[in-house]
Amino acid sequence: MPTSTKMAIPYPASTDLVKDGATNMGSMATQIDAKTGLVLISATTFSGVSSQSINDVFSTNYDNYRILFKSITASGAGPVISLRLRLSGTDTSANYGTQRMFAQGASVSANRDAFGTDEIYVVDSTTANPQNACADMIFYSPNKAEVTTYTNIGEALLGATLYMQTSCGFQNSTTQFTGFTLLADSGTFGGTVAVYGFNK
Amino acid sequence: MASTSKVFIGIDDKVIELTGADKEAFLADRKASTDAKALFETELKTKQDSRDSALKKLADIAGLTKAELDAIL
Repeated sequence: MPTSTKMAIPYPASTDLVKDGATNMGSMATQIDAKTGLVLISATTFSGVSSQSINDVFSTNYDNYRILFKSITASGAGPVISLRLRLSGTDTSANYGTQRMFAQGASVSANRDAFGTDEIYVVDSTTANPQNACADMIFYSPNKAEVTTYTNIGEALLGATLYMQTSCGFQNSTTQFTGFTLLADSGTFGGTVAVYGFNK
Repeated sequence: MASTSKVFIGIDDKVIELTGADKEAFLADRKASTDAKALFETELKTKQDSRDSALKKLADIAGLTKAELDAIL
């Protein structure tokens, strides 16, 4: 059976018997499942909300996940976006720990739990430049019965100044989370959020 | 006093309006978050102002402009 060039996934040759087609296709699907690195689980576009919950994206299918948030709209005083993990439709608002480094222009500062331990800071979505904000988060083991950890990098345009922040931390419980909620501290926001699972 | 502004939240592909106690609880939670961030920003500015003041004094003692001291640091 021939194989694809990059991932060596076997596929039926043009000379294979038609009666073997279903078996061969099944074999090919299994190989794609096994060899694909990142798998899109969920993609959501939203706008004009104070929070956006994404349910049922963490499962036993994957251990680690990548979440990409791209801001599109914002209203009010320029909402700061944070995140809470979620289980069966209910947010968890305790036991988070965050270390953040924040660079704006030539200034760099760092802090621990700057915004409390009830949520994770993600990114600022400014009203003036909402489409200039994004965040790239990786969550480790949110659905396993062990402490969930994460890393995050975000950027935004505050006035004329570009800023970036990188942060990391944990949710210090063994809760097996199934989703998460993005929250604005004030006003409303909108954007796209995509969740990917790392194959294992 | 109850808030008169409407609050909408998204859950997957649905948008719902919070009303009554749910709305007030949500707004109270968000206000606590906003207050914590404001307090942090105030404390951060105080620290930065204090640092800038100390650097200016150091520059004066060394006979340097602040820009020259910043370049060294």
